[in-house]
Amino acid sequence: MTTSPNNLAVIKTGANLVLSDLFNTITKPTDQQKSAFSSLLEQGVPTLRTERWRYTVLRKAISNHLKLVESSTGELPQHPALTNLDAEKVTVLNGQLHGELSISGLELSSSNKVSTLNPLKHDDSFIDNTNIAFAQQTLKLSISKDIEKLVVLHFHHTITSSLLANRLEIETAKNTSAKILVLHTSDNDLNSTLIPVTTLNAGANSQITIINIQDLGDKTFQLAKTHAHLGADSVFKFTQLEIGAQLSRHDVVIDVLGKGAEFIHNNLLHGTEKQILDTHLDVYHHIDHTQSTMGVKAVLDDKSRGIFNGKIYVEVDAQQVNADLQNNNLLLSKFAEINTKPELEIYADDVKCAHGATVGQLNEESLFYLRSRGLDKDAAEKVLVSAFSRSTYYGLVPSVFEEWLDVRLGFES
Amino acid sequence: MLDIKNLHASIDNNKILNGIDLEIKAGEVHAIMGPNGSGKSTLASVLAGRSEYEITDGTVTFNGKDLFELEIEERAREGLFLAFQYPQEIPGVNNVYLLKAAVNAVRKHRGLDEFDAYDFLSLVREKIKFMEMDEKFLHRGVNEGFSGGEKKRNEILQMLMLEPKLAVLDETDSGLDIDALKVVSKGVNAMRSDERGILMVTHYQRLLDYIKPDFVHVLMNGKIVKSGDHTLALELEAKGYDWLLDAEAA
Repeated sequence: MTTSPNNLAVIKTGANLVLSDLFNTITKPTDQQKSAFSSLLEQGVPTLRTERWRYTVLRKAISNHLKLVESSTGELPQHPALTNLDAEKVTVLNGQLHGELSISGLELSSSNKVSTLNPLKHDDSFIDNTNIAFAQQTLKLSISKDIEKLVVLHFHHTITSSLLANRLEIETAKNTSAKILVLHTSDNDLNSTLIPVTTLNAGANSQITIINIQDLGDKTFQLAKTHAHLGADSVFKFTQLEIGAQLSRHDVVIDVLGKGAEFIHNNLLHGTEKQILDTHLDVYHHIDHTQSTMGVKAVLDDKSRGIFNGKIYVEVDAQQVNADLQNNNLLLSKFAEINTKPELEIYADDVKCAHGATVGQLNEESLFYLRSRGLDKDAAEKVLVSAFSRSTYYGLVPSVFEEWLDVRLGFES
Repeated sequence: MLDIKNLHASIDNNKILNGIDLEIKAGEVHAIMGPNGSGKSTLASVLAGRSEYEITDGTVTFNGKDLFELEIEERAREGLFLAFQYPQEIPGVNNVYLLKAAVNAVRKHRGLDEFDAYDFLSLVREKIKFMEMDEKFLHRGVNEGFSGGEKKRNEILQMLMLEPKLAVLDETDSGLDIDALKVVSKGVNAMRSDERGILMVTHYQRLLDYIKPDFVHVLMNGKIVKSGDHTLALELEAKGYDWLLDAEAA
């Protein structure tokens, strides 16, 4: 062990050393950052021996090519789907907020203080600690009234070989509603590692929709987390689309805390080439009369790999819980792979919980049927893949994004 | 139009078709009847291009082209239509979307312009009304949750839209109640024309009360053992198939 300038004990091995060296380049880390970093070192960077990381190798994502972002110059991105979208939009370019939201009942501010969703202890993972240790600023989005207009936050990254931790904390007051689209993009060939964390504290009887679209460049790594606390009678609709990146790990943790609260989740992992797309979903029903419905789909082509681990946890007194978790996977190549594990952990005795997973290839009979009507093989395959995938975004994202996704995923030209 | 010569086919080394000869000319309606396992549906499947069957001998010429040289979709575009015995359910694919994609693929092949949305919808509305189907079927998944009768009507609707040169109807009458049978027959009869051939594969004589064939063939053990006009179907109805087996054995 050696002592670093930031006064922390350093374990001198691979990825841990990389993170220590990076942390030492932070000029004046806050106490929060220091404490998160010391937790991070105590835990160590996960390896394949860590149960929750056994299919996802971090070696390339955390290696010594990484630097912290010093200045955030760069050109503001123009995204084709955003140009014609009627919405309140801001851009976060290389960690720096550009633009403002001028809308009554909604406040977006930037702070260097992190608020975690304690005290449930579901915010102490590797991703949480890394995010807090390296977050340069936290964006806080507070919603105090019904917001009718769609709010868009576009996170774009252009700095190569960098590590960047964005943090977005959303809070909805009681009886409010809002729809937020978060888009993550980066330049192609950008071998950077992004660690975005979004937290949501949903007030009583609030209705919130978050659409999270990850379309990062083909060399970028992402280690993301979305963590929500749902108050009584709140409804959280979370649509997650994982399209880009070389590796994208996304932990989704939902604490259903108030009676009558509901979580609705749709997720698409769309992998090609050698992409690795990993979602770990944990839904904790802490209280009675709560609901969750989760539909997670993966479409994997070429040598891509999907990992899905989904767990419904129902506490002992959480009676009359209704929870359903379905994972359907479509493998389009004999080299594509899915590792799926839906789990139930139930301590209450009066609940209705279901879970299931399917893995399959394109249906030969359906292909034959479509071809016998004159569609060529390629077109018939596209029709079937799009039919499978579209249920995860049709009717759930703005129509310009439906069209953009159809093109991006190769269903339309 | 369709010329089948000495066709032999097998699946997993089981011989199903053992030398079929059949010629269908434009304007003719043929019916193939036969007991279960005689090879009726295999013949329809082989014509449409199902890959699990192996063609071991013989030729099939369709409009002067070697049918076995054509891919499944090329056969469709050349004007071959198979109405399936068990139409596939394809959730998530809109019925109207499939119709449009199919019609335009065939039109493109024939050197015609693709339909614009308005013309297409007017046509499809006319045909769906003719088939006594509700327009809501257009916006449901292909055959998704359709009853047996609805699926068969949907097959005929596709046929009306695609206007094939040769329609092969594989047991299109099986499992239909009398009302559905009448509507399906009405659709098929509307397709009869001097330029079109129709091949009906059926197990039951009842269909032939509504669609009167020019020729009836009896298929047994993978061979056509008897051909005649529509009165042959009545004879089969009265006597069953066994007398033909005996005749063949003798």
